[in-house]
Amino acid sequence: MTTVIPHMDFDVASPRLSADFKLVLLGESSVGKSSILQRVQNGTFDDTKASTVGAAFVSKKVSKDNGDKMVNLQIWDTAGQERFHNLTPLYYRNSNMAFIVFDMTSIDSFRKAEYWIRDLETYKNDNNSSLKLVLVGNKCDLVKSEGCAFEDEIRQFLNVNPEISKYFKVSAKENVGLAELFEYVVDSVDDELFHEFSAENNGIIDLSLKKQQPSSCQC
Amino acid sequence: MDPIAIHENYIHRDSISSGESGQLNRPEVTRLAAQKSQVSLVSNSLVLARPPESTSGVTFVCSQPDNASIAASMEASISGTIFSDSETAFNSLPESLPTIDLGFRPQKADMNDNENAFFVQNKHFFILSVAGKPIYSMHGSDEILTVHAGIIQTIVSYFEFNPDGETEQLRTFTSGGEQKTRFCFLNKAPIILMAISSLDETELQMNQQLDFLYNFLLTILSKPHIDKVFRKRENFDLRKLLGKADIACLDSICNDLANFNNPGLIIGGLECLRMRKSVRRRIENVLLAERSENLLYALLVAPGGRLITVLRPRRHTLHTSDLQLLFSMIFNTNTFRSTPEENEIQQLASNEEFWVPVCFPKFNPNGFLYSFIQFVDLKDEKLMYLHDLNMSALQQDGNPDSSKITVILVSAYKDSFFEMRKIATSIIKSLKLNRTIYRNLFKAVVGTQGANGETGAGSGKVDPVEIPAPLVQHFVFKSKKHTQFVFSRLAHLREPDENMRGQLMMLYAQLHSRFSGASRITGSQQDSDFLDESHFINLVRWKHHNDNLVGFLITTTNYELYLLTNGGIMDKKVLLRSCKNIIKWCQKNQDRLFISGGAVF
Repeated sequence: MTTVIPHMDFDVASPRLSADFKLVLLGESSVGKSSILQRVQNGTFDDTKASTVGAAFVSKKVSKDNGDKMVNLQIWDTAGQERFHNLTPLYYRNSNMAFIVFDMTSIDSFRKAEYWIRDLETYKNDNNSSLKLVLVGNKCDLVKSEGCAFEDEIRQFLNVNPEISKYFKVSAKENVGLAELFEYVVDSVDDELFHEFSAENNGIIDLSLKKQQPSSCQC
Repeated sequence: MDPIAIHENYIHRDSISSGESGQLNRPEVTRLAAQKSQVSLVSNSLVLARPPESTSGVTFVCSQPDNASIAASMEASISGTIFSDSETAFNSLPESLPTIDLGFRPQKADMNDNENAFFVQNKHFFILSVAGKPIYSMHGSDEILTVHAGIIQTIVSYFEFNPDGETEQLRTFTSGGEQKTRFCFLNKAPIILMAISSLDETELQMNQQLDFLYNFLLTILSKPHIDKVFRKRENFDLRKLLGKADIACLDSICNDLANFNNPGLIIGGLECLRMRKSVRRRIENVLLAERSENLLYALLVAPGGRLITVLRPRRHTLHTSDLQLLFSMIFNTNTFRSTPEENEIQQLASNEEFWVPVCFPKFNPNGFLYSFIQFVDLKDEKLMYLHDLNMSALQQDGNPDSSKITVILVSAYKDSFFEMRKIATSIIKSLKLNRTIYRNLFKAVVGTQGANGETGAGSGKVDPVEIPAPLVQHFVFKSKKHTQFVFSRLAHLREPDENMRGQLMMLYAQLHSRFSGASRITGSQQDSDFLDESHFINLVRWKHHNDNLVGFLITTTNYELYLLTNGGIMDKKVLLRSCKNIIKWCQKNQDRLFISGGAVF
C-alpha cells in the first residue's frame, strides 16, 4: 500500500490555476480531529494533546495535475465538546466538504455522527449548498483487521445515508489512510472552482505529507 | 484512637457505601450539628491523618528581628551620609552567586488514588457544586474527590443556616499545631470552592486564589451558562461540560498557585516587555492603522505572558485579572501547541490560527467575546537576513517558544474570524517589515549581539547588576498606577528556573501577606518617591540549613518594591543605596517598563 500522494510532491513555482477549497472537521470530542490535521500538517502525532478550545484554522496549499493547478485548502478543526456546538455552523457555513470523524473503538462517537449528518443536511437544504459529506473512522490501528465491532452498523448507516459520498478508515497515529483521504479531497475540487492564479498567492511551499511509512494496517 | 478521627472515618465510609456522591443524609448532619464545637475538628482530622514527617517541605526559622529597630537604623542612615560611599567601595564588594535553597519543592496536580499521598500535600484546591457534586480537585482521584466534596458541602451548609434564620458564610478556619493549616471557602452558589494550605498563607491570599479559579470557570463557561445548567438540575455534573483542555488548565493554574509560579497573581499586576517608548509607540501606531470596525481589543504578548502593548477603545480598559485568565488559558496548556516535526518538543503552533470564545468576567460575566490567536516566531531566517541580524541566534537551542510573540485580537462578534485574520495578517506584516520594530522586538525578546558575535540575553528583562544594585539578588517593582510590575533576572543575568522562581515568589508572597495590607506611611501623606524617614521598611529574615536570606518590602502609595538579598552580608548603607537606585531607575525608565494606556481609539 502506497501512501505517497504524487500530486503533492511537486514544488511548483507558479501554477496556472488555483482554487480555494473549504474543509471542516466535525465529530465528538477525542475522536482525533486535531490529530488528523496535525498528521497532515506536520507529519507528527501527540497523544498527550489537550482538547481543542473553540476552533483552529489551517490553510494548506496543495498542487494538483503536475503543478498545473493549486488547491488552497482552508481547514477548520472544530472542538468536539458540546459547549462549542452552537458555534459549529460558523465553520461549516460555505464549506465545500465536511469530514464527520468518529473513533472506531467507540460506538457512541459513531452514533454522534448521525447528529452531525442531520445538522448538515438541514443546513444544505436551507442554503442550497453542495457541501460534500465524508465519513472518517479514525484510530483504525486499534481495531482488528476485519473491522471494528460495529462494522455492520456502519454499513447500514451508509446505506440509509446516501448523501455520504465516501467512507475512509484512517489512523492519525500510524499515518494510515490519510494520503488516500486527502487525495480524495483534492480530486473533489470541481473544475469550476479554479480560476487564474494570481501573483499575490505566490510562495507555494511543498506541503507533501512527510515521513511516510509503509503501513501494516489492513483496514 | 482519637474519637474525632473516628468521626471523620464514619463520614467517609458512609458516603462511599451510600453511593450518594458524598451527600450526607439527615441523621449525620444532625449528629454533626450536635457537636458544633467539634466541626472544625472533624476536618482537623484530615490534617492529623498526615504522616508526621510529611510536614511542608519548607521550614522557616523566621526570626523576624525587631522590625522597627531595623527600620529605624536604616532611616537613620538615610539622613546621614548614604551617598558618601565611594563607587569603588561599592564595586569591591564580593558578588557571591549562591544557590539559595530554602527547601522549596514544586508540586504538581495529580489523580493519585492513594489517600496517604493525598493527605501529605501541603496545598489543595477543591471545586464542587452546592449539591455536593464533585467538579474538580487539584490532588487525588475521583473517588477521593467525591468523598471530600461531600464533607466540604456538609461543612459549608452547616454553617450557612443559623437557628435564627439568618444565613452566613463560613470563610476560613485553621487547624494544626506548629504546622498551621488554613482552610478557606468561597461560596459562589451554585459553585463552592475550597483551598487548604500549610504554606503560611493568609485568608486574603487564599481567597484571591479561589476567586481566580472561579473566574476561570466563568471564562470558559460564562455565568449564565453555569446558572442555567444548575437551574435545570441542581444535581448537574459540571464535569460533563469540561474538556481535557479545561482540566489541564485548572491543573496548571493550581500548580502555579501552589508553587507561587505566577508573580502576577501574587502581587496583582501584569508584566511588560521592556522596550523603548518610541518603539512601543510605533507598534501602537501599527495597531491603530490596521484596526477595523469589529475589533474591540488587540494585544501583543511576548514570551512569558509579558505584554508588548494593547489596543483598546477609549471607553473600555482591560482588567488585569481578565488578561491573567486569558494568558493562563493560552500559555498553560498544550491546546495551542503542536509538534512541528518528529522528535521535536511540543511548541506553540505558529502554522495554525485559533478562534476561541472567552468570557472576560470583569468585562462582562454574562457573555462571550471571541479571540483570534496567532503565534509568530521572530526567529525567521529571511527576516533576520533582511534586517541584518546575526544568524547565529538561529542555532541556539532551548525553548522554541522563547522567540514567539502572540497576537490576540478580540471581537464581540463570533463571525468576524476572517476580518480579524485579515487584520492580524497586516499587523504581522508591518511588524516584520518595519526594520526598527522588528530589530527592537528581536533585541528585547531573543537577545542582542555582542561585539564578539555572541548573542546576549534579551533586553526585555532587567538585571539588578545593570542598575546597579549591589547586594540585591532579585527584585520586583510594582507600579501601582499601572498595575504592572518589573520582575528582574537574578543578579548576573541568571534566569531563575522553576524551582528558584517558586522559591523567590514564595518569599515575596510572605512579605506581601505580612505587610502589604498593613503597610503604613507615617508622617506626611504626600508621597515622596524616594525613601525617607516616613517610609516603613519591612524586613523578614529566612533561614534554612546554611542558607540565609533577607527580604524587604517597601510600600508607598505609588509603588511596591520587593527585594531579596543574602542574609550574610548586611552592609545596610550599601543595601539602602541599592534600594534607592532601583526605585530611581524604575521611575526614570517607567515609560520603557510599563504600558501607560496603550493605543486608544
